[in-house]
This record gives sequence, structure tokens and C-alpha cells, in this order.
Amino acid sequence: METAKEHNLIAQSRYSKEKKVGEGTYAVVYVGRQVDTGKAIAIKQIKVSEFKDGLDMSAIREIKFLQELKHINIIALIDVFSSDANLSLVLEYLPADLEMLIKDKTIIFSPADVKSWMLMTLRGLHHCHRNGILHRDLKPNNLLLAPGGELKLADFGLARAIPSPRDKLTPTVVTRWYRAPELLFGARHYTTAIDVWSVGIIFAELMLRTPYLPGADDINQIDVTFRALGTPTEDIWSGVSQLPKYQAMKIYPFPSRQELRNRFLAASENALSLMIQMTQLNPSTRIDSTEALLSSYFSESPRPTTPRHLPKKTERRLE
Amino acid sequence: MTNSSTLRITDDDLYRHTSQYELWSFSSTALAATRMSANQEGLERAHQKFRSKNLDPSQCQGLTAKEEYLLILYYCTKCQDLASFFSMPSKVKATAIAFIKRFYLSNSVMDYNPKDILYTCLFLATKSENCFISIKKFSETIPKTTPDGILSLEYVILQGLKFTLAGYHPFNPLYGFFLDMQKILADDYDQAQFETLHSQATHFADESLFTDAAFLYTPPQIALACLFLADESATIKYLSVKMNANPNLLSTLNHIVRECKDLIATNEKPTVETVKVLAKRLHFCNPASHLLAKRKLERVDSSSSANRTEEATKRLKLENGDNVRASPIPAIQNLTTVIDQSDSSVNNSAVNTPQ
Ligand SMILES: Nc1ncnc2c1ncn2[C@@H]1O[C@H](COP(=O)(O)OP(=O)(O)OP(=O)(O)O)[C@@H](O)[C@H]1O
Repeated sequence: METAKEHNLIAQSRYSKEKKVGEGTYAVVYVGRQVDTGKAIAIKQIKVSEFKDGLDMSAIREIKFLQELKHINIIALIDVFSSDANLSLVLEYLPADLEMLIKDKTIIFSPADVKSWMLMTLRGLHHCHRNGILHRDLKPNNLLLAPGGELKLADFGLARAIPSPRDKLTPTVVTRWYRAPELLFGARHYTTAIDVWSVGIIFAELMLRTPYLPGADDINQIDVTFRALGTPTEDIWSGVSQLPKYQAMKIYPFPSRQELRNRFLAASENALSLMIQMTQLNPSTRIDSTEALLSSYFSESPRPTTPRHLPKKTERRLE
Repeated sequence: MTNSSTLRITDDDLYRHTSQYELWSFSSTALAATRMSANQEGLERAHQKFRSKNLDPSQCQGLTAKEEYLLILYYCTKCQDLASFFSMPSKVKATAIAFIKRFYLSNSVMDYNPKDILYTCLFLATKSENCFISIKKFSETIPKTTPDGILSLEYVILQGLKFTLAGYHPFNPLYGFFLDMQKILADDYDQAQFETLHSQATHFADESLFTDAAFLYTPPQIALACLFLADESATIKYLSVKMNANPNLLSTLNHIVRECKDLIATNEKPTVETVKVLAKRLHFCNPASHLLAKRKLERVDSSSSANRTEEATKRLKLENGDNVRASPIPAIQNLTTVIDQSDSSVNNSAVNTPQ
């Protein structure tokens, strides 16, 4: 109707589109400004797809969940409008991501910096989980950074409602290196624990400054994961041998605390404990995001760096 | 952490930040006013269309807000039938119905026929609730639809939904209360009684989808109302045990839940006869249909043969009958039949339309 068209024209005129900054599988991303405030924003324009089933599922998930999640550590969806045959999401402008910082070896991370990023990640995640939402694709590249240093969970294209016990799910979620063992074994049912695992692996990566479990392919990922953390058996995880992809594999011993300590030299005892609790192989013994936030690691010194004092990358896109 | 009881964020606090609460919750007067203005704008546009075709707008009677609501409810029941035909889970059905009802808070049936809107809402709900079915299969199963036709309304509907897709329904809280009641009332009721309670309450939760409950109450309130309807004394007992420390809250809750219960208990679904009348009137809100009917009438007049009219009527009936029989899916014949009936009554009676 005219009214809808008018509404869209008005919405559209509130934002300027300045330049293309990136392209994902289902969207093109532009930076621009909110016209009356001059504030930088990002416009994610959903591709009018070859997708023959109408609006892409990833776009639907992103809109659905971002509309429900308003939190300082989750990317803000400012507006949505459609023009011609396009749908545009107006998002807050987040010029960097954690992966860029990890890779930039000229930057030094202090233990307080790592703690600050972990705290913000877990707060964002906790907000998802208490609202009944699984993220299912946590990785450094989806943890975006605001100009003021705040970290925000982004890319909800794979998110879904926390499943009820009877739901059958697809195990092919989460980027390989951050995939929990239950997913590697092809479990058709899983919980919020898969997101906690990903954060545990990101924690390790922040300390090591290199990916912790970089499997070359899905088979190799199983080997890399259990070589580092031990092969789960019925002894520590009842039912594991019944999972679809659990088969004869090399049984690696569980690493001793000393071995982990040697690998993560800079970690405090509490940091190490938290990482170990988040990367428990058995999802039912892994801690949840609430417990993680209450861990002594966050109350012991040093205090987490305030966001605006965190290391920054010089702006990459609006040079 | 020292005073966690005062700092704790409750489910209620979380609900108050959902789009359903922020955008889709109303007082009953505000809800009526919203519908009234959507209706008046729709009627004004219909009249405008008549004027632009040099037709007298008073010939377009249109529908009242109340009549629009009845027609929409009818298509919500069709949506339910279709969802169960596809064996879709109840959250898909409930979300699709919520979409239809929300869409018509800012749109009028005089602009968008609910017969079409229902298909796209259901398809969108399957995607939003992660129960994807391909548009090809979806459309093939529903007679007289095309993939493009269904998809072409996606953006219009998203717009009407203010780009919010989450639906919070009474089913989950109902199940939560039910589990809790089994614990708290374990000494008073046996398993069979609990099972009856659950299935009856679920029935009322289904019924609540055809009321304004979701616009006026929170999902847990609706769930409690359904439990009240299923077994009032058990529910009162449960609530008084749960809230014995807080009599004020209990009496407020009691009041709200009773109101909601009455709304669900007295829900009225339109009869097929009413729907036929309304669908016919809707048909003539379109100046093209109006003109067509007028021309037909003129033709009939000029041939002045009663036989011909009768024949034409018979033929129309036959054609429609064939259509129904030719529909590929026996199980949704009901759906097709009723939709066709409202169409065919329009066709048949076109001959009698006054000028
Ligand atoms: N809010 C934002 N602010 C600034 N730049 C952004 C923002 N969101 C995305 N970008 C940029 O646009 C690029 C594409 O983002 P998008 O989320 O569409 O895809 P992706 O996550 O990189 O890939 P995929 O869609 O395959 O998962 C990103 O790599 C990033 O450079």
C-alpha cells in the first residue's frame, strides 16, 4: 500500500549510504550515517536472492532475534526498511572485530584486556541464553568492537530458540574450530553448552594469540580437539558412544592441569580453571554462562580493562 | 550478589522487553481504536478507488471493523486447518495466527484479502519457527496458489509486522505450570486427573488463539486462565499455595486471570453464512468487480431470457463443483470448499447485484 511505501521512503531517507564495506553470503554491508545525528551506522542489505524460497532464513533469524535482544554487548538493530525488492537492516556501526586484534601481532594483550573481552562476551551470551536464544556461531570474527571498545555479539544468522528436549536439530552448526564435541559427534540434540564451549575456545585463543584447535577438516577437527583435551569415553560422559559419529578413534589421555598450565603460561589459576570448566568435553558438566560470570576469575585482580582503554585497531573501513 | 532477591531479573522483566510486549500489547480500548483506524483508512481507500473510476463511492458499502475482525478470525481457523494438514507443530500455527492478527491491526481486508495473507503468514511462520518447507512443496499442496503469489506478499507482511517475528504463546508457560502443579498438588490429584487437566487446558490454549488474549494478556496469564477453565478448584488451590505469602498479588492475579478466562470462554467464531455474506461484500469493494457485475447484469437484462440466467447460474455451479473435485488433496477439500463457496456465492449472486 501507499502508506507502507511512504513509511519505507521516510525510513530510507533517515540514513545515508556511503560506501560498501563488505559482503557476506546473504547480504551486502554499507557504512553510512543517520542523517539527523550524523552518527555512523552500517546498512546490511539482504540480497534479493537466487534463494527461491523468498526471504532467506538467515535474514529472518537475524531480524527475529536482534529485535528481541537489546543489550550493550549485542549488536543493536536500529531500524529495518524495505525498498523496491530489498530489505535493509540498519545496524550500529562496529568498525573492528576480535579476530583482527588477535591477528595483529603489533598489539600486546594484557591479562586485564583478555578479562574485559571475556566478560563482555559472556554478558552478551548470558543475555541470549536467558532470553531463550542459542547463537550457534560464536567465533572471534563475530565478536565486533565498537569505537568505544565495547564488544558486541553479532551475526545471528544461525541462531535459534533454545530447543525443547524433543527437538531434532542439525549438528552442522558453528564454524569448525569452535565446534563442541557433541556437535563433532553429530548429536541431534544439544543445548546452550555449545555456545559456552565456543567461548572457552575463544578464551584460549585470546591467551595463545593463535587458534587453539585449528582442525584442517571435520575429521581432523576431532583429532585436534581430543589430542588437546583427551578423548571422551563412557567413563566421563555416559551415552557418548551412542552418538552418530562416535567411532573407533585414537584414545588420547586427558591433559593434566600441569600440562595445561605449561601451555597457558600467562593464565592465572582462576583463569585456567574457568577455561577448563568451559571446555569440559561432557556438555552436562560444562558450566553455563551464569556460573561463568560468577567465577572468581572475574572478581580477582586485575580488574578488567574499561572498554575505552582496550587495545584498538586503527579504523579499517572509513580511512 | 549480596541482595540477589531484589536484583534478580525475573521472566516477567524479560518479557517486558520483548517485541510482543513493547509493540503488540494493548488495553482493550486502545486495541479497538487501532482496529477502527485501520478499518476507516481501508474504507477511505476503497471509496477513493471508486471515485477514481468515476463510480459513486456510496455503492461500496465496505466492512465495519467488527466485520473485518470476524472475517480475519475465520481465516485464522483456515490457517489452523492448513497447519494441521501439514502436521506443523503448534508453535508454527500459533505464530502464523499471531502474524495474521497483527498484520490487520494496521491493514484492512479491503486492501489485502485475508485469503491470500493467510498463506504467506503461514509460510513465513514456518521459516521463523525453524520448520522450513520449500515454497514449491507448500504451494503445490495448496490448490490455486503459486510460489510467486505467496512470496510476493512477504515484504508487505513483514512491514505490517513492524519487522518483528517473535511470537510468545501460552503453550510453554502452560507446560511449566503443569509440571509445577504436579509437584505441589501431588497429594490431592492422581496422574489421570493431571493428564485430563493438561489436555483440557491445552485445548483452551488453542482456543485462546482465536481471541484477543495475546494482545491483552501475557502468555503466563493466558496459561493460568486456561488452567482455570480446565479445573478451577485445582488452579485456585495451586495459586494459593504458591502465593500464600503474597495475598495482594494473588488477588490482582486472580482478577486478571478471571478476565482473561471469560474472554477465552466466550469467544465467538463466525458462521460460514456470515463469512459468505462478508466475503461477498468484500468482493464488491473492488471497483473492477463492481463494474464487471454491472456489465453482466446489463447483458442479462438485454437478453431478457430467464432461461439463460438459470443456465448461467447452473454452469457456474458446475464449474465450481468441478474445481472442488479436481483439487488434488482430499484432506484439505474442506478448506478449498469453504473458500470456494464464498467465491462462488459471489459469482452466482453477481447477477442480482443492484446497480
Ligand atoms: N555492524 C557493522 N559495522 C561495520 N561493518 C560491518 C558490520 N557488520 C558487518 N560488517 C562488515 O561487512 C562484512 C560482511 O558482513 P556479514 O555479516 O554480512 O557477513 P560475514 O559474517 O562476514 O559472512 P557470512 O554472511 O558468510 O557469515 C563483515 O565482514 C564486516 O566487514
